[in-house]
Amino acid sequence: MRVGIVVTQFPSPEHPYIFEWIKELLSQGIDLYIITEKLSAMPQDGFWDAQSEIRKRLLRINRIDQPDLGLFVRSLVGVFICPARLVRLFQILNRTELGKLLTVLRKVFEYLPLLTSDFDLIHFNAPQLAIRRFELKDIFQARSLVSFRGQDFTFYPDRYDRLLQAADHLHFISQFLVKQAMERGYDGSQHSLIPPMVDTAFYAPANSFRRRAENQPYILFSAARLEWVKGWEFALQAVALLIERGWDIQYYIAGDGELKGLVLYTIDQLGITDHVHLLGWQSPEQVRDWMQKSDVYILASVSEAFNNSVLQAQACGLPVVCSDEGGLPENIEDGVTGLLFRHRDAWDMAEKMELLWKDAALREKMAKNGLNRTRSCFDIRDGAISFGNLYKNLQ
Amino acid sequence: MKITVLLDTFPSMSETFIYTTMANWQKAGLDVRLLARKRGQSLHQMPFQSDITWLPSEGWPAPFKLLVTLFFLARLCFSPRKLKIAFNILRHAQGLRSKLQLAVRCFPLCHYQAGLIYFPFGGLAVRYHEYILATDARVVVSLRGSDIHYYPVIDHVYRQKLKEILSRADGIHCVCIEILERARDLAGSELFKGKVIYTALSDGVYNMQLSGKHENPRVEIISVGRLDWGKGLEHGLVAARALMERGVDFHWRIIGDGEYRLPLQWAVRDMGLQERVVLTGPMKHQDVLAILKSADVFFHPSIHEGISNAVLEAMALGLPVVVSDVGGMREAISTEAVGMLVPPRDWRAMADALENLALNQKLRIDMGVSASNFVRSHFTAQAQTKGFLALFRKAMEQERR
Repeated sequence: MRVGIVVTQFPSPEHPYIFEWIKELLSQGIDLYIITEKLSAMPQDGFWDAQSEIRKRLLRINRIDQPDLGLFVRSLVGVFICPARLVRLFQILNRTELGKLLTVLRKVFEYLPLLTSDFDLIHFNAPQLAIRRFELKDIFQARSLVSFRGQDFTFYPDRYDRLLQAADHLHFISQFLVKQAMERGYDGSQHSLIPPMVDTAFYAPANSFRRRAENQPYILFSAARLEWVKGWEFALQAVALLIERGWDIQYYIAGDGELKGLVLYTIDQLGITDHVHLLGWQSPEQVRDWMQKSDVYILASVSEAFNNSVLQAQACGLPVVCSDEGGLPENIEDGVTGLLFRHRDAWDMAEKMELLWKDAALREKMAKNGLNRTRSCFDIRDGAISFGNLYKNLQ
Repeated sequence: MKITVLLDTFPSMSETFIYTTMANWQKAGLDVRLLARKRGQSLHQMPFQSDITWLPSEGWPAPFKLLVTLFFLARLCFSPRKLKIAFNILRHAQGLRSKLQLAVRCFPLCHYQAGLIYFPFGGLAVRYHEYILATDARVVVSLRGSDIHYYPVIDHVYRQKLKEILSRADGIHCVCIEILERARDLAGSELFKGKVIYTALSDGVYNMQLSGKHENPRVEIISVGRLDWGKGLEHGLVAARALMERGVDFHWRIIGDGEYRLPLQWAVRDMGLQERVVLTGPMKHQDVLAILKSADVFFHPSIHEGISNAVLEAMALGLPVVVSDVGGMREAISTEAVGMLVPPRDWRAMADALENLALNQKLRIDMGVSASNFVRSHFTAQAQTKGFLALFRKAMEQERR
């Protein structure tokens, strides 16, 4: 069974556990290859030496807007080995692109490095990517699997209607996304629900659970992009409400994004500049360290498919207060590993945070529950097994 | 008196009020010349006639920029005074590339400057910071809202540049007292020459009849503005959700367009407000006025604002308004009788105010009449033109530092 998983960028700096995940699948006998549109620049030298096994399994689409001439020359070798495949590539693209010559030529150039490969299953890691590259399934005469992971239906509700029908199998990360897909006419007959997973060996509590000393401020933490979907104004408003009520709070935010101006302005307008600290982008190690030394993780998203960092926070033994939006109610267990508030309602959010802080025993219980739940339901190794089984079933 | 006005995009839909202002200056005998950086589009009628000089683009490749610089340098050679200004400007930049960038931006201004230079927006003045510090022309700058409320908070370089401009300019026009006070604090200098001149209602609005009494039990709420986060419409939508849950029969039309359209569309769908809220997109000014006249309540849940022209127009047409208490809005809504102020981002206060108006037709009508009387007497074109003429005259009479 040979599977090609199509991604936009590899490896993604926010998902360092991806290597463990791939190794786990390989150990299950899945012949997995990664087909990427873009290769990330890795910070450390010699990074790939340690990952030589995976390096061999990395194929690249030679994007025309960022062409790699060396790759082009190397892939010409394939043309000499099997010229018949080049002809077939032309024919298939001519059919899928409805004879638009320029598009056909562009895609021939882009797919040239894949000419000598064969796949039984093409797994598109995002629906956007599937729409852009769906012809790969025809080129390899493989079955297709499309993962829905983000807020695709939120932003462009009608964009995926055809894809929902055309794909052989669908993967959703939350029941919320399944529901959104069904609202767009998907009949619910051919999907798997595999939630995102967390590396519980990496995201784990520090030696002991943090107990708040008297007279020390409550430490709040969020790690998310500074974008509108994360509902920053509501979180900051809730923090301001609590400060007004006399709580001693220090709130740390990891992340960067296009709405940094709004966040800075809101902090200034609410008069909480001494209480809120923007940390900028933080590495996974730094995020974990913050999670280990914070009291509560908060997130006020107004649109969310599932959210990885909320899961990571639970794995670090951090109680969560987050909105009841999208997939978040599946992510935390309300009242058990955290508290949900009504999305876009800062007063409700403040109330839930107060509830948690007044009750140290509840906080500790929730921290333990979160830890247990992530280890038993969302461990990366279990997730790899689920994917291995899914791939085998689709054979 | 000659005035050179610098604009970014011309024409621009959201800047029609400036064209009206300039038309009034022309009527009062000023010689107004326009410099603009980019061509834009507008659905609105252009009230203003003048020749426009287009400034060269700063986005051109370096060789073109060099040609432009040499071209203007050659022309500046005819006036040693202007040439000296040009060289003073270049001192602000380090490195050839940034000198070239600065030359392309400022040399044309040195060449075209005639009489008093007017920057209708603080942000634009900050772009030409080096020019303003170097020129011997009289400079007047307007502060209208985000240029003093928003950018200084998020950008330290901007803040410093604006601070220097506020001390250097020969006149600072502020659209409200709140902005004047803020600008004075920022300038921190005795050289600060600020003056409040309220924006005038356009003639079209001024001459229109008051909006009448509507018997329809469903309350028509209306908002007009660019769809960006600063307008706070997402918080307004949370208030709308509360109104719906309280069983108030309302319909809310939001007129305008902008980059925050997608988040707002999602908020409407997400909170199940599709039947109650419509995002209409942009509209011609006349059509907006017609819709305003048929509405019951005007709602403006802004996060930051100078004094919103949209709110003033709605008040002039006799609409009761629910407005965030930000910037200079409380100078327009000076008493409880002329409108309702709510704290920004406070959906509960917004919902209470809207509900109160929705359930009380007499209150709506009384408030609308008071609002109209107040705005029509305080935001007149005569007062505005008089204010500007005095500001310009004073700027011209000043000793050059």
